[in-house]
This record gives sequence, structure tokens and C-alpha cells, in this order.
Amino acid sequence: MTEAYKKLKHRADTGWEALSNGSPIRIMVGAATCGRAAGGLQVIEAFEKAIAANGVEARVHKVGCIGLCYAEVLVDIIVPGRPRITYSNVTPEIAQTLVKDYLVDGDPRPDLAIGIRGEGSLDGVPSLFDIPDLKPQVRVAMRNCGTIDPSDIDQYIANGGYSGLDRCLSDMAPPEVIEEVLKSGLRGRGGAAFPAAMKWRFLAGAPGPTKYILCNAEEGDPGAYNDKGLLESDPHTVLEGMTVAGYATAASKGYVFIRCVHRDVIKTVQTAISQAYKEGLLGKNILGTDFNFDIAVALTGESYVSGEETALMEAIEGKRAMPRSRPPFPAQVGLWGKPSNINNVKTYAYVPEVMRQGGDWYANIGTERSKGTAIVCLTGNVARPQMAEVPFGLTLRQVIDDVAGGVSPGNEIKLLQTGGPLGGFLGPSEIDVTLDFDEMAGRGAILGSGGIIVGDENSCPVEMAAILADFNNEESCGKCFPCRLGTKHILEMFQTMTEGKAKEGDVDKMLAMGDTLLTSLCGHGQLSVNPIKSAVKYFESELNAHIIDKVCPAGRCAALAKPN
Amino acid sequence: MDEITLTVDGQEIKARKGQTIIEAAREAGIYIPYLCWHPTLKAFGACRMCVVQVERMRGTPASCTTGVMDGMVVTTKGRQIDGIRHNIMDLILSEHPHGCLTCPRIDHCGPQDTCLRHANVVDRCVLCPQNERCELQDVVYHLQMKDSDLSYEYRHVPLDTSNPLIDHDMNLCIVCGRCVRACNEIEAANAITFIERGDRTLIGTSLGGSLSESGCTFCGACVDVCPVGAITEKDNKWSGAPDKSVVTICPHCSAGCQLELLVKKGRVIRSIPDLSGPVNRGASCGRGKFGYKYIHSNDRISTPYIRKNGELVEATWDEALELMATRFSENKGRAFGAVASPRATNEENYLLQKFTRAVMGSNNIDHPDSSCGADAVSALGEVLGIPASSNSVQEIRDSMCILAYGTDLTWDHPLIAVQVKEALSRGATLIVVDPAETELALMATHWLRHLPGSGVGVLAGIAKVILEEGLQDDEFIGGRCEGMDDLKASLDGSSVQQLAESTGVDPDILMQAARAYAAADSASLLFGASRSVESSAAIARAAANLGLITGNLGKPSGGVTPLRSEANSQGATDMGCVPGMLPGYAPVSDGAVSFAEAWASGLPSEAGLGHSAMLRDNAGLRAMLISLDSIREAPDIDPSALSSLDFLVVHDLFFSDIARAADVVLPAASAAEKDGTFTNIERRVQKVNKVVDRIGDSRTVSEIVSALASRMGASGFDFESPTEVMDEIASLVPSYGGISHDRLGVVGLQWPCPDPSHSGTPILHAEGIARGKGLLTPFELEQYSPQMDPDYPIFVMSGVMREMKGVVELEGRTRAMVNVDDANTAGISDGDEIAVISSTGAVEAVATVCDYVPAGIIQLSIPHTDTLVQSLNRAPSVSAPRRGSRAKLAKLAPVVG
Repeated sequence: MTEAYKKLKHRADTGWEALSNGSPIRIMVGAATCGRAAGGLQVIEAFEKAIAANGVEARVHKVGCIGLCYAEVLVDIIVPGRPRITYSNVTPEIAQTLVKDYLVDGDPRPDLAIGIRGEGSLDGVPSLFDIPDLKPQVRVAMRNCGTIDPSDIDQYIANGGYSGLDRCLSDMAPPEVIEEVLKSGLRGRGGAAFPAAMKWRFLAGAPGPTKYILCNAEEGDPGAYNDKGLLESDPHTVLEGMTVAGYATAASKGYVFIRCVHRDVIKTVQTAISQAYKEGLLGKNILGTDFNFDIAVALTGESYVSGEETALMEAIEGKRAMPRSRPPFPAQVGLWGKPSNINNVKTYAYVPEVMRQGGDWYANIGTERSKGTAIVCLTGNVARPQMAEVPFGLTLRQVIDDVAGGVSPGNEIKLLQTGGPLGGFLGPSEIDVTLDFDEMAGRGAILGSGGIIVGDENSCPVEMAAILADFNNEESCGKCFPCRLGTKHILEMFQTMTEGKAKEGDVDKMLAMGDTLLTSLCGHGQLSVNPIKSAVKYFESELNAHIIDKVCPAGRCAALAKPN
Repeated sequence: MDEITLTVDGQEIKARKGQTIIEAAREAGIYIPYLCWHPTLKAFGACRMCVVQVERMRGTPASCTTGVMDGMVVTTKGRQIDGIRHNIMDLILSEHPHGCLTCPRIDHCGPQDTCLRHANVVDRCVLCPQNERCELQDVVYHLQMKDSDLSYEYRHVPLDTSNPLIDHDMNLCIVCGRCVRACNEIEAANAITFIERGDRTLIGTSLGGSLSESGCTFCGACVDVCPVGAITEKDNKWSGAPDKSVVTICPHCSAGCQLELLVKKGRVIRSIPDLSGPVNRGASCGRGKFGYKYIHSNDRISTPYIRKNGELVEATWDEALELMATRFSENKGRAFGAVASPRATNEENYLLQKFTRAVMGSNNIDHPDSSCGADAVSALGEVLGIPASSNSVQEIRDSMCILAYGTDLTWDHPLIAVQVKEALSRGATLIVVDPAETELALMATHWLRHLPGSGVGVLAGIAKVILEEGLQDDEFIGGRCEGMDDLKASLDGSSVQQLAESTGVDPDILMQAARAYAAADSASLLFGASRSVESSAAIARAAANLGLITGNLGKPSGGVTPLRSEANSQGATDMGCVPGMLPGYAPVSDGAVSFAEAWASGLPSEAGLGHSAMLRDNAGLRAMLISLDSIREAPDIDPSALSSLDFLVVHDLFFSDIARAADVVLPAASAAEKDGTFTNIERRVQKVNKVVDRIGDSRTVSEIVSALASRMGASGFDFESPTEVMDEIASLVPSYGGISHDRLGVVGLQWPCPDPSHSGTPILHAEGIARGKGLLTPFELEQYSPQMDPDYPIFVMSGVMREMKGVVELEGRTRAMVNVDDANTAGISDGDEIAVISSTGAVEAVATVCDYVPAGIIQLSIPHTDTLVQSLNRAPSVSAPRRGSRAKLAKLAPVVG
């Protein structure tokens, strides 16, 4: 352990002990995007007013998102001698009530609480991690989400943060770091699931001195928000992961690439970066060693394709975000023509725990070939939309039913849209597929960024596919011909289906277009055929109903007849 | 070795390492269809038309982005590949008008025919300006496309015909991005870009406004690369395919770009930069691209004129030549003078000086150059031994540091500017020494904005810093230079601080620039004198000093280059169109023997007069022959000075004030109407080829002096063709000794080329300084100090010949760039109509209030429309204020009613 880290850790532990003891009383309000959308800032205001009015000594912290988006605004209150109690769906009124009833009158209001943490108990309130949502979950990357204040580096350090980096710098040579990551079996979370350690090895072998570590936070899939969720709830785990990658590959600089409209995420990351510089965790002589590494935020405009790794580099260079031809691959010719490694936010977020607890520890979680956990965003027709971290090996149905509460009673899951608009969807026959990169790929679905949109019996796969096709066309960067024009014609054909103007044979034309799309420059065009492919695979009869009978069995397509 | 063998469609072909499959296949004559790829551009990989199959490679890689490897086995056709190409072409045709493209009757159909298939007007190739020169058409025919059942959508984008040079019809665009890449990679203008996304992706201007507003330089690169009719030249848009094409040398500046001129029915209809041009490599500037209309201008002088009863009246050649023979015979010796054109061929200029010296017995022969005159090259000759640029243009892009002195390079020599921009993109340092905020100044690492007239001081300042900080190349100085003490002594009197102060340059920037120049592995110094008022020889000596003390001579991408302005400025000097030197720089005083023998004539041994001296009242000249060939600008000749002459002959393309003052006016043949050679800025002798027949009754200088010589009874002018003239030049001028028209081929030869087996010399002084030792000379710090005249407080930096691209709209108005402070003093606002008044006259202009020029200086400019769209700027009105003169500004009252 470096001396520098020892000092930091000591200070952080002292602060965290006080927080955990509730001295003074702590009120931790979920104020990530979902929390704010639910009124988190008003709740904070209400708490501040109420504690002032009641003369209570308490400190209000903004915390990130624990993942229970439907339950926001979530508030944790820590009072000395009591467990940390989590309240859900808190409004400004409830905030006033809690201050008065709990902090003034000593009644913790178990009726408003959903769970507790730490020592002690509360009548009828389960441990937070025993509630149905969280019970199946294993928190690795999301270990701090909703628990710590992301703007306080000490809270991250107190919970084991930067000890992974410290271990690398004090005990390990760069190849050993890569070896450890290889042992963990960590695979990239951007979609392709390529082993992270392999990528790092490519970069480590590339000539220096200027090499880049790029973090792709350009998360454009509708229904996926886990990258932003992680960055705004626990930015340091990503920064630490990038720094470890920098050390392992002898890179000089990192960029976190974020879409310009996510102002709060950007601010959170920038704050975290400046704190890391201040504490000697970035910049020159990190933790007193001779390792130097810088991280900056790079912004992009609103373009889906800028999440493609080479387009992302073009965008950082100030050009229109259009993919480059590969080879050369980024590990040889990347950003500004220099060797670069690019990973997703989530991939880096796992690294600190892999380094802290070891590759073997991580490899124990998950399945044979998909190690660790998946961070999924469950949305659509589910009872409890949320962001969850579940171990690989559960079935999708388990995840949807147990974690997200399933579809509405009496209804059935009809389709799942996974891996973003390019992922197509899964039909009812595949709902018991295991959450596993290769299992899913074998069924024609991709886990991708982790978005899972659930459709119940009222959803129309043709309409759904048309929406996806519209997205794919709209977001094509326009560079390569097959994608620019192929996505247009696929969209047009879907539209004719939903409008009742389709002809027999259109499906074959669309599938043939898929062959052309395969020649596209990047995955955007290559995968744009998935909506029609999956519609054919799972919902052929509904397609035919649209094309031949001019009937929409789900009753969603307005131009078509409703089923009898 | 870097040679690679691969198999393409069963045929074994050779390729070089680093080539892509498509490049190697093309060189081997194997056609792979493509649309977004272009030989002058970087691979883009967008159209996917060039997909191939490669053994042991997944899928169907694009041959434009896949590098060749030894033993590679490539298949370029077959069911799968053809299928992909057909499918992609179906997609392209679903948004490109294709009524004709897939029509089986196409061969039988003329533009006026009624379409039997009821194809819309907009869908018909026969109504596309690009018909029969459309690459999409070629690929469609190659693929034998038939109608597809994909839905077709015409874009209905309004046509943009708002500028006088380039038309846009984005309904025809296939979004291949060639134009965008050309604008970026060739011209670095980035005026056009992709706009929108998804299937709405199209080409637009970077800032959404007009091309000029977006920084378009009208180089036409986008037009040349467009594979369809989306971006076309407005001129001759509908002329269709040419009857023939001829590659020749651009006459517009000294870079020596090669242009392919396309001819239809005897008229040049289009100019396309040639890929094989060693300087331009397939690129051109706006003048090269669009500046050919002067050839067929109705204003061309088409017949001889003789002054009778005070009026110039049409005459026959016989009459004109007879009169000239008579009058010239009466005025032999020092009473005769000739001005050669820096745009005439070497062969013409050689014969003109031979005529002047051998027949007329006069050394009064010179040529004008608006920037770096013969003085500058002669000065280089004195200190280095060879009076020319030491290095070649194409080395500039590999230079680590470029010092650009006194030149608006992007306008003066656009294709050299492209090299500089390329070097910049490779990480070179750019130092600009210029009072004006030129485009390069804005791109410069260090911009030394000095006071006009203090340029030598800036170069001296750089030398002073280098010597004070010990950054000089002592080994080079010790072994290859002499005169160091004199140089040092000239700097003794002033400190860096003083030199910076006297030149108005920030001392820190001066020091940084000096360090960057000295530290670079190779530093290229380019100097012009287009806005200098001091002696261009002094600048040349100062420039040579810098090159020598840093050891930058004799090495690649280093050197000192005088930026001569005209297409054959270097050649005119080489050919002895200078008062003191015979062809090949033999001094008239002592080197005349061999020439006298060869020409069988006694030669005058006393140096003659330069062109401005010839025109002084007391110069004693009575008869003159002035050949101008003024496609761009006339020399600084004041017609009033011509009144002392008894007999003046002007040979020109257009009437100018000088021609109107002449006794005989002769129609000149333009560069497109004759054969010969030009020698460019890098000593490259290139073949000028006849493209069209003579316009009117025009003749070359060679034809005129040969006819005159014969009438005057002189021999030695009896040549069958310019080829024979070059043979005589080669026999007399050692550095041209190995040059003949036959040997010039595609890329020409760079002199010195002493014998027919020599392949030319790209870099001078490589084996040691040609002079023996490089002569370091004192910096001539006596500065030009402009006469202050309270009545005319403004310094005119350039004459009226320049157009400032990017600033001037394509609207045909003269603009005056006025500094904000001067504008405030004179009560002028941006866009005001003003008069720029000098003691000799005035010019009206629209004021652009800006920081381009410092206070106290204005720059006058004439826009594209005058220079290009009309018959190129011809001789300007003499009353207009000239470079270096002083003027005052006045706001003109608005015209009422």
C-alpha cells in the first residue's frame, strides 16, 4: 500500500464512520436523473426547510441511483443507534412528515420505509437487499450506487475505492494487471463482449509514448441508461478503472466521451476528475509513484453512431461522427492517429473491484463463459422499471419477474427488445434464455448495452419493428451507401405494413436488403436487419396478418382492422 | 523489397507495399467498379461498390480500404459480389434520377426526342450536364442494371446557381463524399461538408450559407471529383463530351501546374488538373480551373494595328512587319529596348533577347515580375552560385518548418500553399512574416506582423537570435560558407530588442520563430516580395543568410525559394531576358564570346537597362518592343513615360493603356495556342502544348522576331519549330544542355540538366554550395521609410491586381481592405462606397473594415468575377493607385434617386 493511499484512506474512513453513525444525522436523497425527475430536488429543499424549522442538526447528502427507479424519490435516513432506513416515493410532504415524526419525535415511520441497512432492526421492514428487487442482485459495479454521495471522493475511498489502483501501483507490474483482468474473464460491455484483457494487451503492445484510454459513455440506445446511471452515481469507479487500464497499457491520457446534453452527468464526472487530481489520483506521480495519467471529458453532439468506436474518435477530433474503415484497428491507429483502447463505462466500472478482490473472486460470479454480472435496464410493460445488476446465469424471465415484478397480472410477456434498436427482439419462446453473452447470441439476441424493453400481449411486433427501423434510419450517419439507403427502404416497407399497403414478398425483399446491409461499414448498418429478422422468426403469423389480411392482431396499427 | 505479388482473378500482378487492392488492380489494368474512391483522395470505404473476396479474409472487404499483402488471392467478380453491387446500385438508383440509366433504348435516344417510356424530364440522362462523362453511368452500364422495384424518390432540392462558377444540383448527388474530402484533403478549405443524417444526408456548405461565405476558394476540386452531375462548372455546362484533350502548363502562376484542357469544336470548354503534374498532382486553384475563358474572349486583339493619323487602324502583318523592320533598323543599339513577357515561352524569350542583342545590338532587354523580380534571383546567384530556387515544391510538405515571407501564398501560389498546409497537418511549424493577416498568417504557429518596408530587419532579427543563442550550424558555416564576419558585423549595431522594435514585431514571437526555424531538421524558406517596398535583392540575400547559417541548403525539404510570380518568370531570367546577362546567366561583359560565335554577330558588352529604367525620360530609348501576354496584369509601366519614344510596338492579348499608346499593336498568341516550354519556380522545364488553333491572326514572339530578322537581313532565326529553338538553347546554355522537347515527357526536367543522359536536379547545392562557398552578406538594414505626406496618409500595400478570396463576394466589385482605425478616422463604415485617391488618380471601391491590414495601410482587391469570369484582369487603369504609393480615403456620397 502506498503511503499516499494510506493517508487518504484514513481520512475517508473517519468521515464514513461519522456518516454511518449518523453523527450528525444524515439524510441521503436520491438525486440522480431518475431521482430528480421524480422530484428529488424539491424533496431536498423540503428536508432542508424542515430541519431548519424544527431546529434539527442534520446533514443532507445527494446520492446517486440505487436502481429502483420506480421507487424514487428514495431517501435514506441515518440516526445514531438506528439502522440506515430507506424510504421510497418520498414527496416534499413526506419529507416534512419524516423530519417531524422521526427526527423530532423519534418515530421512524416503518409504514413509509421499504428496507433497512446496517445494524439494528425496524418492525416489519426487511433488510433492503432482501426485497424482491434486490434479492437476486449481486452488486459489483453498482456497489456504491445510491449509497454514497458521488461528489465526495472520500465516500468512494472509504468503501474500498482506489485500493485496486493502489494495489496495481504498489504491487503489480503492468503485465500482471492485464493477467489479473484476464483471470477475471471480464468481457466488454459495449455490445461485442470482447475480452477486456485482450484489448488491453493489444494496446500494451502498441508503441508509445502517446496512447489513449477511451471510455465510451455515448449511450444512445432507447431504454438503456446504465452508463449514465453509473457515471452520475459513482463516477470514481469508472475513473479508477480507466486509470488502472492506463497503467496496464502504459497509456498517457484518457477521455470520457459523453453526449453534450447530459449536463448533470458531465458535471458529476468533471467534479470527480478534479477531485482525483487534487488527491493525487490523476496527473503526475499518481499516489506518489512515477505513473502519470490524465483524464478529460470529451463531448459529442447528439448522434447515435458516435458511440461506434471509430466514429467516437472522429468526434473527439472535432469531425463529423462517421465510422472509419477498419483495419487499422484503434489499438494501432486510434484517436489522433495514436494507439487507443476503447471500453464501455460498465467495463471500466468493474475493474476496481477486480483489482481489489482479485480476478478469481470475480470469475466465481456468473456462468462459464459470461463471468460476473450484467447491468440491465428493465423498462416497458413491467411493474417495477429499474436498473439492476444481476449475475449472469439467471433467465431473462427470472430477471423480469423477480426483479422488475413482471408484466401486469393476467398478462403475458410477448416480446423483449434487448441490446438497443439494432438488437431486434426476442419472442415468447426465448424468454427463458439464460442471461449469458453466448447463450443470447445463439438465440439471435444481443445483450448489448443492457437495455431490456418488455412488451406484453398488447404490443404489436410490427409496430415495434417499425419504430426500431425508424430509429436505425434516422440515426444512420449517412456515410456508407448500404446503411444510408438500406435502412430507409426497410423503414418504408415496415411503414407500408403498418399502413396496410404491404404486398406479399415484401418480407423477402427486406431480408434480401439485410444481405446488402451486411456490407455496411459499421455495426449500425450491419445489424439494422435485426428488427425484420426477429419479426420473421417469432411473429411470422402476425406479419402475415398485417400483409395479407390487413389486420393488426394486437390492435395497435391504426390503419388496420382490429382482430375480431 | 517492397514489391509484392498477388493474384487477382487468377492473374498474378505486382504491387507495392502500402497500396490498396483497388490501386494495385487498376495499375494492372483490372477494373473494379467504384464510386466513392478517387485516385487523388484518401480511401473512404463508403460506397461498398468495390467489394471483393479475399482468400482467408472474412466477408467481402472493400478493395479501397484493404491493403495488398504478398500472396493474397483476390476475386473481384462472381455471383455474390455482383449481387452486392447490384443491390447497392439499386439503392443508389432509388434516389438518383435513372429514367435513362436503365432504359434499353438509351442508345437510340437524343436530347429532344419524346421519351417513349414517359420518363420524367428530371429522370433523363440526356438532360444531365454530365451525360457521357458520368461515372455513375459507367458503373451502371458495367453492371448492366435493370429497373428495380425499390421505391424511387426524387429529392426536389432547389438548384443552386447563385455563384458564377459552380452549380449545384443536389438531386443528382449520390453522397459519395468525394467533394467533401477533396475540399478537405486537397484544398484544406472545408467549405463543404455532409449535412443532415440518415437517408437525408446530403452535401451542403459548412456554415449553411453560400460557398463564399463558407470559405470556398473556388479551386474546383469538388467539381473535378464529382462522379455525377451534382457539382458542375457553370461554364460550358451543357457542352457534353469534348472532341479532344491536351495536357499543358497553367499560365497563371509560377508553380507550373499541369492542366488537361478539354476542347470541343476548337474551343477550350473545361480545365481539369492533371494527376501526373508533379507540382499539382491532380489539384488546381480557381485560376487554373476556371481561368481559361480569356483564350476565347471577344476582347482579344485579333489583327495587327498601325497608328495612322493618330489613330490605330487595322493592318496586315506584312504592313506591320515592314514598318517595324524599317523603324527598328533606324534605331539600333542603345536606342532600342525590348520587354519580354514572363508568360511567354522559353523559346520565344530566347529569340527575343537574341534579336535584341544580335540584331539590334542592344542589351536593353528585361521582363517584369510583380513579386520576386530577376533582382532577387540574381542576388541568390551571387551568394549561392545558382540564381534559382534551391529545392522543389513537393519537398515542402515534408519540411519540419516553413518560413513564408511577404507572400499571400494561398492566393499567389495556391498549390504551393497546399503543400504548406499539408506540412502543417504533419506537424510542421509555420512562421509567417507579413504585415497582412493572410490565410497563412491565421494558420501560422508564429506570425511576425512587421511594418511595411522593415522585412529585412525581421530576417536580421531572426539571424541575431540564432547567433546570440548559438543555434547556428557551425559545421556548415565553417565548411561551406564565407563572409560570416561581415554578416555578424552588420548585426553588431542593434540588439534583438531594437530589431524587434524597429520592425514592430513582438520580441518574444521573434525569438520563438527564430528558435523554431533553427531547431527544425529541415526548414524551408519561401520568400515573395509582392508587398515589399524594399529591394527584393536585399530580401533574397537576407533569406540566403538564414538558410546558410542554419545549414538548410543542399538538403531535402530545406532551402530558399524565391516566389517568382509568373508562369515563366524563371525561364525569362534563364533565357537572358535581363539587361546584364545572356542566356544561362553568362554576364554580357565577359561571357559573350561563345554567344557571339554561335550567333555570328558582335554583341554589346555593356549592361543594358531594366524595364523601368528603359522608360525613364532620359533613358535615350527611341524604339521599343513590349511583349506583354497580359492575361493577368500589366507591369508597372506608366504610358505617359512612353511618350518620349519615337516608335513603340506592343504585342499583347488585349488592349491596355500601353497598347493604346503604341504605334504598332500586334495580336499575341496565348499559351493555349502555341508549343514551347515554361520553367517553373523549381527550375522544372515543362512542355507547353498547343491546345487550340490561333485566335484571329495572332502570332508568337518567335514568329515575329524571325520575320523581322529576315526582313532586316539577319540570319540565325530560321527555325522550323520551337523544338529546334530549344536545341539551340541546349547547345549554348550548360544547365539546359540535356534538355530537348523529346526528353521532357510528362514531368519535365529540372535544370541543371547538363547532358542528354542527366535526369535533372531536384535539389541544388547537395554536393556543396554551387558557388564553392556560400557567401554570407551583411543584412541591409537601411530601411525603406515611406515619405510621410499629410495629404495622403495611407499606404497602398497592393495594387489593384489582387482579389482576396473568402473576403470578396463573387459580385464583381473592387474592395478596399481598410483597418478599423483608419475607417474611423475617415468616417467609413463596413460596406461603404469609398474612393481611394492618390496623387495620380483614384479608384472606387467597397470598403471592408477589418483587421486584415494594420492601421495606415490599405489593400485593394479585385474580385473573382473580374479576374475569372470576364476575360481575367487585364491591364488596370493607370490612374489607379499602385503598390507602394500613398493615398487618402474618402467616403462617397450615396447616389440619390
